[in-house]
Amino acid sequence: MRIRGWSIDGFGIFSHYEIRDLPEGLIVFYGPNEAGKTTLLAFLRGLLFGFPSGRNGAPAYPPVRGGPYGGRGLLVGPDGEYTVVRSTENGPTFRITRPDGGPGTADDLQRVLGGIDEGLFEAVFAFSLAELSALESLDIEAIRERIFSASIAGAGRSARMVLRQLEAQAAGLLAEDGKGRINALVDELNQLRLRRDAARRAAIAYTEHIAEERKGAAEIARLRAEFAERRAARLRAETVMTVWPMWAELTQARLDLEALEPIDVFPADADVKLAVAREQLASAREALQALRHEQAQAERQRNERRCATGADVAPEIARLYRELPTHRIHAVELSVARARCETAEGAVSERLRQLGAGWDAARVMACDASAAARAAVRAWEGRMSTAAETERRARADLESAALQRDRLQREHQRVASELSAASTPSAAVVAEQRQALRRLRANLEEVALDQARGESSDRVVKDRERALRALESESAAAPPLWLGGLLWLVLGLGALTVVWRTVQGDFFGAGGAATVSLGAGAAAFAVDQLRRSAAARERHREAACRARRSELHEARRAREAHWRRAAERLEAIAQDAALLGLPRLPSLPAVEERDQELMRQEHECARADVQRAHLDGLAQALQRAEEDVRVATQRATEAHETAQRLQQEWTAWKTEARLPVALSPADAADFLVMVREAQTAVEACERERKEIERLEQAVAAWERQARAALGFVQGVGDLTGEELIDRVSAAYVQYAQNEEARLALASLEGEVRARAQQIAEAEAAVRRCEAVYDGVLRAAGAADERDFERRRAIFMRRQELHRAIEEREQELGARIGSGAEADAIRSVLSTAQPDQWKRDMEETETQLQEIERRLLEAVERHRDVKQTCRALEDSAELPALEVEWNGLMAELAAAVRQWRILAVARGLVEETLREFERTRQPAVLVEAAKMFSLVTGGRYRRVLQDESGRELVVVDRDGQRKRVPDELSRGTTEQLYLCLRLGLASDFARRGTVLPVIMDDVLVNFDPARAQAMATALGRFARRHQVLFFTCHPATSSVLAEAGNAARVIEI
Amino acid sequence: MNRFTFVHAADLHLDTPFEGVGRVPPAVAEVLRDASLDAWDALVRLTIERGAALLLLAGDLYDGEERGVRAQVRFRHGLETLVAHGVQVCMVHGNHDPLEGWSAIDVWPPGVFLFGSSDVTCVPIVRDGKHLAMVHGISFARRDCTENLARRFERGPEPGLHIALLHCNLANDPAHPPYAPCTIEDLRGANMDYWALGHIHRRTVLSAGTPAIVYPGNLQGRSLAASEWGEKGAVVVDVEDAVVQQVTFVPLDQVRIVSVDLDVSGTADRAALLRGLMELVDSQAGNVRLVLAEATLAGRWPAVAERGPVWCAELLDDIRRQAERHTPRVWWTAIRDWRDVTPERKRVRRRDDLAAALLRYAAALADDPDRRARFLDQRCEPLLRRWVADLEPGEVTEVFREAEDLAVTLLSGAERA
Repeated sequence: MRIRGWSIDGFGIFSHYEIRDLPEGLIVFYGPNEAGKTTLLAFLRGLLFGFPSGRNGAPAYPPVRGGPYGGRGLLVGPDGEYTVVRSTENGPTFRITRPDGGPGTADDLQRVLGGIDEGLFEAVFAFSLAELSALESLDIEAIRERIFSASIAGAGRSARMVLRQLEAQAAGLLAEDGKGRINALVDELNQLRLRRDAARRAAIAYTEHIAEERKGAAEIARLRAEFAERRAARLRAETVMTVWPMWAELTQARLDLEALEPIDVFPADADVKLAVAREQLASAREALQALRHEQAQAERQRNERRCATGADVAPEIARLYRELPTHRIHAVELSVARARCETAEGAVSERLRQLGAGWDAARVMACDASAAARAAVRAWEGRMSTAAETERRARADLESAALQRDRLQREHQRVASELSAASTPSAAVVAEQRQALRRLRANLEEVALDQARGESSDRVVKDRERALRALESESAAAPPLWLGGLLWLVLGLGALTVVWRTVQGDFFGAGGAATVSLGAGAAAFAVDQLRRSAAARERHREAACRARRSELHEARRAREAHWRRAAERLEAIAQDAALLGLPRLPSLPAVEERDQELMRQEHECARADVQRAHLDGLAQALQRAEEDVRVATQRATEAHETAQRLQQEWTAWKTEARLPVALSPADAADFLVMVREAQTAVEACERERKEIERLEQAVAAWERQARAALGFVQGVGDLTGEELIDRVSAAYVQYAQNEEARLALASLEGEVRARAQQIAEAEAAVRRCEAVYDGVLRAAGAADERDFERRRAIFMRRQELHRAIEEREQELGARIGSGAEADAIRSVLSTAQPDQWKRDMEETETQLQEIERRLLEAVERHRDVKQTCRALEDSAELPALEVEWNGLMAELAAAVRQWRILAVARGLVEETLREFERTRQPAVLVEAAKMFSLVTGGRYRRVLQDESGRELVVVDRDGQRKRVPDELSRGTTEQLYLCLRLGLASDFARRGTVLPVIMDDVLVNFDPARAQAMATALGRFARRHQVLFFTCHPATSSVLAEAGNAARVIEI
Repeated sequence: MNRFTFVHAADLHLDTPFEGVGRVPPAVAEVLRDASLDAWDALVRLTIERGAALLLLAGDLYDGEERGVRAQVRFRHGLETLVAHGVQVCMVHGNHDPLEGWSAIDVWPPGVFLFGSSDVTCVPIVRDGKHLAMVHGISFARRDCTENLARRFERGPEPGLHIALLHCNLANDPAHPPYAPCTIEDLRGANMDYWALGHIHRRTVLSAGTPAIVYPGNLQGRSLAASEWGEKGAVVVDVEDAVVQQVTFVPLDQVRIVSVDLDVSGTADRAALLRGLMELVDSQAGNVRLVLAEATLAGRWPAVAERGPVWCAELLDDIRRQAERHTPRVWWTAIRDWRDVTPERKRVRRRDDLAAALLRYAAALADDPDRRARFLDQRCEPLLRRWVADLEPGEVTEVFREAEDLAVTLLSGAERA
């Protein structure tokens, strides 16, 4: 690119100033001081990159001679001519017209400029004398990069730009000021975490809520049962008080009844019946007495006749003989019955053996093995089984409660030990350290900036001191004052000699004197002019010195301010570092490490808070668990006691029932069945024995009668069995032969028997009457008539009492009904404590109110906790927060991944760039060294980078290395810097970015020889570049025109 | 003839939030939130509709000890519904859900059997007084169970079908943690008729004969990982005379994760590209409430210079807008552009500039993992460890590859494609 011309509407001292048709090559702009060279340089820079701003934002170089601020320039690019217009007439305006006449954009201008930025352009392509030394340090990154990394990137895109781009993108993701995307996501996550943790805590608390709900339901059920019980007790007490009078009457009636002999049955009209029976009995007894008297006389007659005939035993023998078959049958049956009895006894012995030792038939028969007893045993079995089940459930509940309590204790101890073991820092301390860390970060950044500013100020001060010293060391080379006086004296003497020689006619001598005089005069004039010029330069120099001193003062003040601020920040850093336990000036990695540590501590604090809350919850749960254990223990004890009591009662029952003590209810039922079977066997055995006894009695009676009937026969006293039967048979045969005596005796016997029959009938009548009489007495339960009357009176009284009791019972039943409740009321009434009942009723009323209050509270609590549980069960808050959390985490992961990619890319570029700088000798320096050697007449041959890569050294023709700029003169240093710029511009050109180079009087400090050599070098350089050289020195203009072969010299 | 049907599902991960999806609109978030529970409801409906006598749940019912109350209530309700329809439920716990933690379920409904962790136990399956099968099972005692639990199984003398219910990693699938590792030989050695397995999220029928060995996969996909792509659900198993006749997969997922690849070379314009992507998704969507889709583009249209992250982001915005009115609802998670950078890398390496040096430097780092780890640690790793896990070795390689690509593209002055 080259500049073809420009038109300034208004800029500094320029107004409607136009330059056209600038050629390629070297163009010299010559003008005296204040002609506007520096202003023109600023205009051209502003045209390309925007006009600079002055103080308070106003434009620098405002038009002082009229015209609108700004102007236009004509640039010749690779594809044609561009017109660039900048003005501020209606606000900052930028326009560019492309070669095809169409409007362009800033990108077009950037492309024409090869992509370089303003700083690089000012450092390399457009600079003044004061800016020439800006290359003293190679810290200007763009320059360093251009020098050391010329081949790193092309087409205007530099590695540094790439780094800046990567850094900017990374900062967009993660920034220390917290404005990065990752920062925002982390902030969002931190906020979301609070909500999520709260929701999680609520979800965790659900376990307690649900336990509380179940406990509350049980509590409500218990209270309702208690309330119902109390209410029933109150109702019972009211009933008791109401029915107490009739109960008292009833009780008295029962007492009276109990006091009477229990005669509850008495025949109706028993007294009338007794009187009739008494009379009939008396009549029967009189008739019997008469018959007995008659019979006694008849029997005496019969006995007398029987003794005479011996026939008194014949009928008996005959009867015995007739009964003989029956007797024989009885004898046979007896032997059979004895055999059966033996079998039955064996069965009884077996049953007794099964029942165990100590059991005999009497004990068996004494034992109650009835169905009722077995039912009682089954009832015992049910009760004891229920008691055992109740005890087992109570023990299980106790174990469950104890397990729950132990679990909570262990959890409580674990959390407590974790809390005590964790050396959690104070939250306040951590917060304070967090603030200190933020201050420290900010101060570390600022102190680096302050130190950089301070170092920059040091360099500025150093430059200005050097410039001031140079300026002060300059002295105007003026001819001495005496020389002027001498020449003026020679002029005067010459004039007098001319006059004198002319008067003497010595015209040759006068001419010579005149010549000398004129020469002296001319010399004196020249000397005078030289002195005037020197004086003027001295005034300028002193003015410049004053200006430089003022600048130096300002620079020193600025430097002190920077270093003071840096020291203050260092002190603040040291304080914050001490608070954070870091060295006085901690490194960034140490700060980052401390930040990580602090984040960890903050996390620990938050975790400790959560754990403490958890610990409180556990303590409450533990307390509830202890209460549960206590209640469960109490229930278990009660259940155990109930079981023990039942066992004791069962043992007592068994003892009473004469059952073995070791029997369980189930075994007892079986045992009773066995007893029942034994009883059946014993009963069978008894039946057999009775049968034997009956048969033996029958056989013995027949034999006894036989022996009695045969008593008069000798030798039959001890006969039994067949012998006796034979004797009876023989006697029957013997007495049957005396028929007459037997008939007479029979008649008498018939009479006796007839009367005996009458007596028997009379006795029967007496017995019937006695039986009727006794029956009447027996029916009344009386032993005699006196007793009859006593019992009858008792019966009548009892009947009255029974009626009274029945009436009271009916009334009582109508009031209290029947069943368990009625039994309970009766039980209470039986205590007969009305005063106590009244007190109990009042107490029950108080308890009822208290229970009702507790019940209402429990219902309310239960409803609340139930609602909480249902709300938690229906709540989708936590899942929704988890979804949101995971979404943010996914975004964070993606952002962090992108940031890592950027960081790695930046690291790769930085590391590669550093290696490049270290290992490669830049082509720029080679180019600059050639030009520098030319300018210095071969005194310096090479330009190199030092070991650090940040400073330059030059090598002279003797091989000596000299550090730049410390070991070079100012002029030589400026020559080197100029050569470096030209080398850089050439390097740009080699990669296609050809830009004009604009210089403002940069040869001022060059001696004539080096100025000429530089002019020659510039001429060569201008073959490929357009060079605009501004100068106020005609000599410079001349040397550039001649040695530099300037294409054009333009006077401003 | 003794016929019956049972249903086999695993890895319900109830109330587990999706991973890696990023921020989504509220309506999408709501579907994601309820997806696992709705899938459970669908499983209950399926079991009842098929008249199954038995439902097998092979572990990882939950994702951890902290079980969502809402999910527990929903789970319990489902079990009660199943039991009311005469379905017996057998389940084991896996590595994600230890035995404790059922705060909302104090008593399992009758007919639901949860296997313990001490030893393999056996439960008879009876319906209408008829013995159908025996189910053997064991739960994980703890998360990191590394014992070969399969070797504890042994067929008993009881008649009928013998089913083994186990949560395990068969043949050491590297995509899942190596819990309860075992081999097919271990399973065959137990002489079972059907192995109802859980843990592997990708549906796999390892053996269709006797024994049938089946991983039904998880009930509902839960992340964008490859194992979560495609249909998810349960298997319905028909049994006749104690012999497995048929194993049929039934999709039950409510949110389907779909990954599509599209070669855009022949695409006419942007609209056609978007249409092509939606058609690919529709072909895999099925009858679900929501599809989570990601796409990878390949091909040579449009020009590489026009493509890049910004282009992909704009494409993603366009297709998300277009998908708002689509049925089923589709949420596009990402659109990636794939291109083969190998030729370009070769060209850069031949140069003698910073980009070439950078590639050499990166290659040297790749050859020295320790050095690369130090580089990574120095550059970025200590940061954000609190929030984001360190990179896995594979991820490190991927990050370096993308970083190289980015750096070379920027240094070369070309827009990154």
